[in-house]
Amino acid sequence: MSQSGLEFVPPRPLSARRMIEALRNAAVSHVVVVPDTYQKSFLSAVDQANDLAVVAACTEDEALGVNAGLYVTGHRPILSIQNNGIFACLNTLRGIALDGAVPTVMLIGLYGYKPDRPPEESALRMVRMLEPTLTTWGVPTRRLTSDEDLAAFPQVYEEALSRRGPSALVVPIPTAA
Amino acid sequence: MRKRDALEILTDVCRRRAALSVATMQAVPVWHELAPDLPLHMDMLGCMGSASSFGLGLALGAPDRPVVVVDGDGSLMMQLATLVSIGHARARNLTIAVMRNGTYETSGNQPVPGAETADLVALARAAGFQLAERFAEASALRERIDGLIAAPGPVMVVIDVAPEEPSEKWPTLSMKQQFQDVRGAMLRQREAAPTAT
Repeated sequence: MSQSGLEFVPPRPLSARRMIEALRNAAVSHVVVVPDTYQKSFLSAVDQANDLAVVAACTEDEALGVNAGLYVTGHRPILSIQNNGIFACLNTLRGIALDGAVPTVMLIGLYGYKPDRPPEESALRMVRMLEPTLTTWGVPTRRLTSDEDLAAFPQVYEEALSRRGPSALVVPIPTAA
Repeated sequence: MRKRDALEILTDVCRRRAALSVATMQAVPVWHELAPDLPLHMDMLGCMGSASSFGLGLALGAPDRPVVVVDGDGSLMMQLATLVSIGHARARNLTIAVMRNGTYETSGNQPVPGAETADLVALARAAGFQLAERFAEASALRERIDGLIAAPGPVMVVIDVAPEEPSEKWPTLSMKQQFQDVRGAMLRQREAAPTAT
């Protein structure tokens, strides 16, 4: 039971293979990456997917800029980054994705989270503050708690395109091979 | 040289080569005075440091078209690791032109750290840029610019310009409208020639 009184259902690992399928279903063209520990197996699968271009960035600030350039030139990129990276790049998220109205779909690893309680009850700020931070900035945020949640990925992508703004998909625990 | 002299040369070459272009900070007002007609131009405003990474995305997304980014020394320093990402990506069609005045002009010309000690040409070369050159005279820049933009990049062009008083004349077209306009043009081009980008 969580502090909210609701039954707590721990997340299940996302399958890297199913994640790649979800990206293909959304016709994603590029994955802009600042590596995240919890997406290790996903990133390995992306590297092996010949139909997905990988762009490595040194920082999340840069990843947001690269995403915007790819979008403007007619491509369909996503970002794969970490919760701590979001905290690092908030001004760029505000400046490019929000003020510049650039569709920016982000897979965000919830590094540090242990699935023994809901993230909002974690002792770690980097865990419990991620979703409230995104919500504060008006970024639609969805937690991916099982492979079934991946079915919504194409819809999330299209919604970000039509709204012209960012969307966050939180990867709460390490992805599986 | 004067900022305006440098931007005359850069806007001319962007027009001749139908380049995608990006300007940021105090280059923006002068760019729009000189070249309000360039349909593939965008500004990066309110997000200091992001011009060059935006340019990297443009260059990777449109590899057959030159991409020219007009950055500043202070703004480039905000996200200096972008040079490494650009070098790593081997973006052959990307030119980063840094207006080096040694100051944060917008906020009142306070000195940029490293204005006297940091060598942007050496930093770019060390990050993997294929060419990096510095210009103090407009005549030398004018003579060399076509060759630099046509050369396999990434290319860094450091341009020494004198600090000026900050401008208040900002463009009326919003950044997000520019993004949509250029995206529309790029999509139309891809529809007309699907293998071009």
